[in-house]
Amino acid sequence: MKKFIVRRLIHMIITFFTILTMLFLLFRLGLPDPMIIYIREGLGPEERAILMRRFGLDKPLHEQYFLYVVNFLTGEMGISFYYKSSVFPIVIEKFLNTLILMLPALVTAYTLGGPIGAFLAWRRGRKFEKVTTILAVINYSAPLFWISLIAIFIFAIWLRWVPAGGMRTMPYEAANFFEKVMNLDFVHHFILPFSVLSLSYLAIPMLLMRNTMLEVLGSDFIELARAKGLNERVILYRHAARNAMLPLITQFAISTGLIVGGAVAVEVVFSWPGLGREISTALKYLDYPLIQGTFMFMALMIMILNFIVDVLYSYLDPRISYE
Amino acid sequence: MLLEVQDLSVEYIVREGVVKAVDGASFEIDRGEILGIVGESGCGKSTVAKTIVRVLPENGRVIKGRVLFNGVDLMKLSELELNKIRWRKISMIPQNAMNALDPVYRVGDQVLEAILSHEKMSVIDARKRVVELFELVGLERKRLESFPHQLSGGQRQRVVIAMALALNPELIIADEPTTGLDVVTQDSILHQIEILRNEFSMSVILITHDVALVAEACDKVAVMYGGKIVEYGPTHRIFKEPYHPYTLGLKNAFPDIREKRLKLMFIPGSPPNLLNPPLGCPFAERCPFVIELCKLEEPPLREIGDMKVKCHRWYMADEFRVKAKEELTWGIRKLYTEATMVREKSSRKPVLEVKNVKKFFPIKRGLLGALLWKPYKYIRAVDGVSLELMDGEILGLAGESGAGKTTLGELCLLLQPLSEGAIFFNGKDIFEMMRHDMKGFREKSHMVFQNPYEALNPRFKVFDIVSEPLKIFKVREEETINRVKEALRWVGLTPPENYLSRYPHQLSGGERQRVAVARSLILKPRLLIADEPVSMLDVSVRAGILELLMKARAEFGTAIIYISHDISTIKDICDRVAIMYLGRIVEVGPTDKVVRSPKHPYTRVLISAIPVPDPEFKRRRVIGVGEIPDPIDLPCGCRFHPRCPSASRLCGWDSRDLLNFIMRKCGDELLKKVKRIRAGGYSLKIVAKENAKSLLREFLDIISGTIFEDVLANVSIVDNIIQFTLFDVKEPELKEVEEGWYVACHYA
Repeated sequence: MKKFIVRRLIHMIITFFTILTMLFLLFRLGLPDPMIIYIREGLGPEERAILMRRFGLDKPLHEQYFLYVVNFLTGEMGISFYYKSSVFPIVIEKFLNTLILMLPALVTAYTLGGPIGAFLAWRRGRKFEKVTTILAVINYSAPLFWISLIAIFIFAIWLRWVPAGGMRTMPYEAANFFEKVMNLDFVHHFILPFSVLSLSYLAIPMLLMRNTMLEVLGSDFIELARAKGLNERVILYRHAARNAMLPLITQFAISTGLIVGGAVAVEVVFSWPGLGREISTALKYLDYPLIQGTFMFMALMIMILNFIVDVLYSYLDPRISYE
Repeated sequence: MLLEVQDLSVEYIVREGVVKAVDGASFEIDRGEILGIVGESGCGKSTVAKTIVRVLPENGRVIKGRVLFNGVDLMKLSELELNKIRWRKISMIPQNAMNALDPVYRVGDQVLEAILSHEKMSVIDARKRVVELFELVGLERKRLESFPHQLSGGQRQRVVIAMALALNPELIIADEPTTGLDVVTQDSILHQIEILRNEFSMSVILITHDVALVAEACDKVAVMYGGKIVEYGPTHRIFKEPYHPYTLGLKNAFPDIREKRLKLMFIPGSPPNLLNPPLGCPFAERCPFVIELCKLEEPPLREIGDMKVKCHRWYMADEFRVKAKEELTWGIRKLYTEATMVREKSSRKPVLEVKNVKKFFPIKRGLLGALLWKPYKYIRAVDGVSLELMDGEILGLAGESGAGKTTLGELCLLLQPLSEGAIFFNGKDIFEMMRHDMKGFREKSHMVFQNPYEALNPRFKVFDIVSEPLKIFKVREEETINRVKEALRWVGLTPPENYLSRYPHQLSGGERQRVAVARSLILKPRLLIADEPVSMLDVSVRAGILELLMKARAEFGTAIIYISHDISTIKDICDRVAIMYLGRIVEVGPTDKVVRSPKHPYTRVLISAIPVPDPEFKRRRVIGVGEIPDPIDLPCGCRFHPRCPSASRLCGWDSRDLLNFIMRKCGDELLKKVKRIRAGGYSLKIVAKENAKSLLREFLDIISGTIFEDVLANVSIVDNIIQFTLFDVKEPELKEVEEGWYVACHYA
């Protein structure tokens, strides 16, 4: 197991550098003259040379690359054109904003969806199972932004229980992220997008668990477990649910990897200042350092989450070996 | 009586209606008895087994009947009460034991679970019991920690058997415990079951389609057909004087390795659809002795001496027994067996020449391995095979699973690229042919696959399946239809019009395989590779498919390689047989001779493992040691020597054998005294922690008097390193022992 983790970590480092290099090449070779983007008005050749020197662009490519890697590793990602400030703190902040919304929603959806799905499989053919399954399919097919709009209409505009958008009531003061989210005002803003997201994410784990569970319940080792004289609860949880969980974990990994992308619609509708919304703005203003920073950050996050899931998976399913 | 099943009826509710899976079955078992339930698939055997411990699927229900176990009706108990009897008193070896283990738990823990859920025992005591059980069924102790996917089919089967024995139950229900395993493994498991009965006086219900297995192992037999027990009585009586025509047919269909069969017998047709069971006798439709009464009225179960028979015409049995031996009685057409027998050998030319062919599969080494340029490891699936297949010859290819038979078959058609060697078809290199004239080669060579359920595209109609080769070779449309019809008629699917627009799922297993044969023979190929074409099929329809192969040879002169682990079917149809072991051919020769007096010890093990359908015949077992070794790290010298019952010093004992031997004798003690061990080829290095000399003396004591004393070339000791060098022995090559009979053994 230890060997596997070490091996997997080494893989991760290799992947990280590959992505880093690709990003470098994309931005250096894909855009012949970075200056054109930095300052749009015409520049004299002398000023240009000064600027080039200042940014280290007069150095040979491999030195530039080395500098770029060192900077990246120390958290130096350049200066945003739009915000006119360092990219790294911006990305971190927006990312945490996204995470604080998405992760609780996902975790809630999967921790509720799994057991409900298992229960549905167990009660197969009963009225409760049929109705719930249909509701889940409807929920799954409805577009997220549409549900969000309806929810805002009902709870924010009509009932006026919660604010219609944002993370906090403006203006506010917070020394750090922790302070920002640890208060009632935040919860007030948080509760509606969180509920909409969890509900909308609930369908996938629920239906998935129900289906795999049905498959597992029909397999030979469940029949043997019955013949062994184990009681129904032990069969259901120790044997059936344990096996049915595996695809659920995979699905969870895929979903977490797509957190940022998936959040764009919700973040826009709820004016949530997250990373997804930030990417769309950065693209609009051609804010290359910011785009580069967010890309790298997303890649890193997906890698870390995949690593965690891989380790979890190899623990849960002995058939997986990464030799 | 330990168990009495009285008038048991079970139904399954499906979308189309009600399936009467079991209808009025009655039988009984006493302590220490083995009862065989035998019949084709779909006759309700497994349902009976599942009903006894009430693990029927959700849509199954018991309509009537009682299952008395020690006088208590199991059908009336609550789940809670039943759970006390399940496994503790009645345990089960389920059908498809391959999948009966939970893939996410260690096998030792699964056996442990069975013990702990019934006995109030400390975990430590229970663990001890598991270790005992593993020893009892012949599994190494280290297997306790394995996960199911790390074990072979035979090993998994043993785990399930260990589990079934865990609580010393009074009754074990074994539902097809050996189906899907090769004969050698089957035989050792059968042996195990017999030991259990004799030593622990357990009772066993053995459910199988294998008539020979029943004949060897069982005291009593119940023959099931169409959900009913049609004949029931002591084994020796049933095999000597069967009354029911179905029993006669089933016995016929089962080959006896001792006899030279001149006919392939089978029961045409298929079992009745139990959704809509026939009014009268269930067998009436296929019975050659049917009269009007049989179709109208179900025969009563009649007692004749100690037998029970469900047949209206039981009094005619004497006559039936004679008539049943004729093919004509069963409506089987003239067979092609005679054509197989003698053909002038000199007039033949080789169709296929396989020259020193090898096929290695690399094992994945991963991203890191690739970056560090780690050398590939290989599975040596086929490791130097040379063969000739004559024009119009049927060659059998036999061996355990994992011997490389299928790979060799696929190489012959270049369905996989070769690693080394060459193959010639009609004198031309097929590799060259494939480059210049791929269609030309594909037109003349075809394959029939093992699993008819997967070999046919489920979205294609029978017509599309059979006509596809014609389309590839651009045959005109009118002609195509006629040729497809002809081909279907040829394989016995008549009238062909009824089959043309059917989909594979609407056909039975036997019919599907016939469609597959029609597809591969429609172009009248010169060469056909048949890879276990009957192993997935019921006994009663097997002979029908084999007959088609012989017909193809007789009518089109097709040369056939028939791959099978079942030597009894090979014996029926093949002129020559080649025995494969771990990627090599160890013996090849005329089938009759090889089967009658095998020369290679492996062939002897293989042939002695085949059960004989005669309860009075006591077969002598030749038990091969252990399981087939890893094809990555092959043994030195003769690759069979670690398992060979008659291996001697010339056979290539290597460092691993020596190490295993020492380890077995010393146990864990050795590891405390040793720093490092390195075994490779013929040299074994052991680095001692201290006092290498006394350790060496200890080793030499262990070795003295054993075979290793003879094979030790040199022993040296430098500092604390002990080095053993063993004699280097060449692997035996095939040698001609008689004309056309080659054996790869130093002692042949």
